Amino acid sequence: MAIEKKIDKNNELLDSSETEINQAVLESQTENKKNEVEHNYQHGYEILHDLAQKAFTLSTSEETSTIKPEINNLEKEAKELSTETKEKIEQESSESAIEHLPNYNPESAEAKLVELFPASEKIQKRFNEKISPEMKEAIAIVCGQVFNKGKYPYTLIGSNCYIPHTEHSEKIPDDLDVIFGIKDLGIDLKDIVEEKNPDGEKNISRVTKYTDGAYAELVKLQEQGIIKDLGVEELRKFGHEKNGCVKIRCLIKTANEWKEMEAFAQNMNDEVINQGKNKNGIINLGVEKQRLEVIDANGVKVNIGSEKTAEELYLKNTINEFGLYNLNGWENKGAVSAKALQRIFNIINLDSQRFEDSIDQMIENIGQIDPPTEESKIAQKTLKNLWDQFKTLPTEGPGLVKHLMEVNQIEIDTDNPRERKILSTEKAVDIITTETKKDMADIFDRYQELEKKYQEYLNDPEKSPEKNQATIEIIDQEIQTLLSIGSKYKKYLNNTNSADKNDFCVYAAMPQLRNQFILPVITRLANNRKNLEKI
Amino acid sequence: MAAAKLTPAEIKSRLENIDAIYQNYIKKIENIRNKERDILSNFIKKMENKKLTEIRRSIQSEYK
Repeated sequence: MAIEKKIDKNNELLDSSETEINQAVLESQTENKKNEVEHNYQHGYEILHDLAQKAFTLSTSEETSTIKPEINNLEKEAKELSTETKEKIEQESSESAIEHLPNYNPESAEAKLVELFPASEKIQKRFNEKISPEMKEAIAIVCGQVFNKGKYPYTLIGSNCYIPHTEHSEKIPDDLDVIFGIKDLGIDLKDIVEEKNPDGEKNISRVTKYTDGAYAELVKLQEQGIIKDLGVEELRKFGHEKNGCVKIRCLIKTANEWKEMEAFAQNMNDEVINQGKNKNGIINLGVEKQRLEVIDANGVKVNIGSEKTAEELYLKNTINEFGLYNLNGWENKGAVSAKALQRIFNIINLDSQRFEDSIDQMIENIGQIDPPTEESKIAQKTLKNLWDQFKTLPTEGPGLVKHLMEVNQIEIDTDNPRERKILSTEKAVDIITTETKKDMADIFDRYQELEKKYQEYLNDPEKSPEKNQATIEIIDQEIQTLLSIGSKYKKYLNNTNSADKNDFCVYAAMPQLRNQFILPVITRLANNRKNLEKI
Repeated sequence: MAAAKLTPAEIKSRLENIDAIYQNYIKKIENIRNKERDILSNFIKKMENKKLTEIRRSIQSEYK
């Protein structure tokens, strides 16, 4: 055991006592320093908050807007600095140091874009407590027997990565998502052939040849009965042209059930550079800060995305999904991801976010995604308009989240008000996501059906006033149905309380759905009706 | 990525690293906070001067 004499700056002995240098000292010093960082950050924030309040009461919103972006950027920088510092301190306290994966050159430019560090005690504890035993078993199987054998880093994303980075959430991950480098796949893309399914019209993919790699390891597991239903699929951009990436899907056997896995073999640095795009890192996480944490799952070392990585991924998902949260999006993509609302909630529920007041920050962060895209501009503008609109709503009333909880007779069992607020919002977001998803699908299906009928009637050589009237009546009926769906959401809107900022996560869907989805369908149907009247 | 117990020498070096990380943080955060404070203080000064000018103007027009 090493003994350290206590010495002061002048290298003089302070007292006769001696301090043992052991892991406990390291752990307590880590905690102290992390707390000091947090305290320092919070203290600075509070002082500046008071100063900012004073500044804003003296000025108009137009005047305020001249300094707000700069202040917000600096605050973001301060917050990131404090989070990163705490992570770095935590990293120093870890019992084991991360040895870089031996299979790639850590000095290469693309490897330097990926940072691997041991998960903190907090993250490991949450992973142990919140991820089900079956899920841990499934993760340990595929990571230990497939992805840890790869030459390049991989990472778990999705809910298994999100849950450890949140204090309160009742989500229980039921599937697992992995991202890994396509060079570790072991299949040449030309060896994936698409064939017609014998009992249907749907195409199925078949691998005709493969070499060592993730796919070969999965085939071995399937032969041993550890996984089943192994399948691959080349991914396509918006369902159109292939994008060079591959999705592997399978079910993993655990003690009590089969767990679904989706693993995405993504383009790596070389592939992206060859396409004339920016740097990409060693794996394509789609984020700038490729920070991965190593956790322990049943004794197997597993990489999960860090909080920063999770935040950036959710921001990009919000852009892709909310930017297309309208009728055009549905028509171009074949569907709208109602999950856009859940992404917004997930972002503001991450550890380093201030749940009640981080919407502004989220909207601003969308604007800082580099390079900006058409979708990111639309998503930012749409969310900003909705947020500005939300702030003009009454600050009284039951609140949308509370209303949805009451109507659905859901109670959150906790005495902690903050936890209750977060869990209620999470539930309300899930309720409205399911409801809007179903409404959008039903509306679109019925609209397509009516459009078909309308076209059929136009092409009908034997038109008659009766047939014409019948078509008009079906359209009228659908317009009435759409109006009643619209008014159902209007009733929800009347319950919004803008003093409850968490209401925004639910609110955001409704004006968008009413004005950008239902209204355009009504307008198109009304136009068809008008044309029929002229015949 | 094998786990290995840290030796006392390694722990000592980690403690020094933590201190260095913390000192570096303090320097950087102070820099950011100073920038924020300067922007807000200058803005407040500007707004107060503007208010003062407005008051002066209104007094002048009142007593002309």
